[in-house]
Amino acid sequence: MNKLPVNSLPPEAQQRTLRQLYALMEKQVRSYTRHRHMGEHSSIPAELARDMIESISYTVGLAGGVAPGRDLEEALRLGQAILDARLQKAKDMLELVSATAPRWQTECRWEALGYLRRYLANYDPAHLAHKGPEGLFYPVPVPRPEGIQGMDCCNFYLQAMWIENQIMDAVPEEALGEFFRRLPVDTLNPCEPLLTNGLGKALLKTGIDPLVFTPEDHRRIGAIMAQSTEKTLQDAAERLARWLDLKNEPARAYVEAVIPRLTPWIGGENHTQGLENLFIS
Amino acid sequence: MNDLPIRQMQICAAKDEIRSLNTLNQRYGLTLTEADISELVELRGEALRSTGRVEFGGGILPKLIRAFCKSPYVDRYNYAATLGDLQDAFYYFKNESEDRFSDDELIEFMEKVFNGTAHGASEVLTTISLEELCRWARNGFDDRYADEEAFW
Repeated sequence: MNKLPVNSLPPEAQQRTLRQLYALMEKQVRSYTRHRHMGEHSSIPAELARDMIESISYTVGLAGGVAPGRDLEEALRLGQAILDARLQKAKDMLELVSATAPRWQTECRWEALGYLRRYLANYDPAHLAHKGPEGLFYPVPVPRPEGIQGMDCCNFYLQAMWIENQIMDAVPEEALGEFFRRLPVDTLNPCEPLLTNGLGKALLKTGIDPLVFTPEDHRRIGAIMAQSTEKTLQDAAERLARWLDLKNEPARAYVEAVIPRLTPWIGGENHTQGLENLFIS
Repeated sequence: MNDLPIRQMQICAAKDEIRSLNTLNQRYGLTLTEADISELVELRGEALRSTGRVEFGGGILPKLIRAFCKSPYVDRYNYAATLGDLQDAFYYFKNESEDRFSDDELIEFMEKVFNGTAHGASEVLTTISLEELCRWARNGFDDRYADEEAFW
């Protein structure tokens, strides 16, 4: 019970907020057990109570948090209206991601999409709003903002997947198909190796069709990397961005965030053997 | 957040609700003194802590009082002690059942066993397992299990 920031309130307001929280929890417990068709329960496990208080805190936080003279239940209602809007946005985004996904996918990516669909279908904004898709295993090469919870976390993944769809869509279909055929079956997120190969192709200045590497590409890239400077990789990154010609800002920002992560790997492999392991051939 | 005020609120809410039931139970000759109420509420706190549960509002005691005050085995001499045992047993069964039974279902099982097989011995309810409670509530006590029950 240490999430609702009441300590900053004057003592009287603290007492009032705590009384409101207590009354609210009584209602929330009733509503939760009714929602789950559990019948009436006067008590709940302490862990669930902590989760429900955290949910209240998260939802009230969306509506501006606690303040002297502010009714907690009213703030919760306002927060839930915001959550409902975000939930609708996430559902729309999920449909968009599904509709724009290329026909080649990694298994992990399909599973991630299915997981998010189930998460959204079961999301409980009234009682456990802070719960995000915690069981989701889908590595995204851009860092997840710290402290995001609940629906925001789901939206982060959906936004990343939608951007990835646009990146994959920017690659000619035949080249993408060939790339996926050669991609190891246990690849989690296909976008990182795709951008790695794209960056390699930009170093070779050969275009991204075909996207996969040949032994000759490896030999040539080995020679380029042996004499490369930091600027060589920067130029290649800019060239790749031009080739992909991404139309929206979030997609460009995604590529700009990923490429600096890839360049040390590519820059660190200045011999042909290492590069063969790095690029999909 | 300091959860002490929450605990105080729980105690006040529980005491108020139990007190209000005294009027109802006087017709059965059952009354809880202020000392009884305080002790029961304190025991409730201990039972909740030991079972890792949290309760809001008046808690389970008012429901137990309503269900058991009509029992022929409850009188003014054993009223408070019986409620203490029943409360302990209730939280134990609640946890054991992982909340699969609602309050009313669990109380119904306990009432059947208390007024049936246990003949009003509340300590029976504090020593049997959830499985036994369910079995006995459904079928009554089965002699085949008599040897397994140490208290019997």
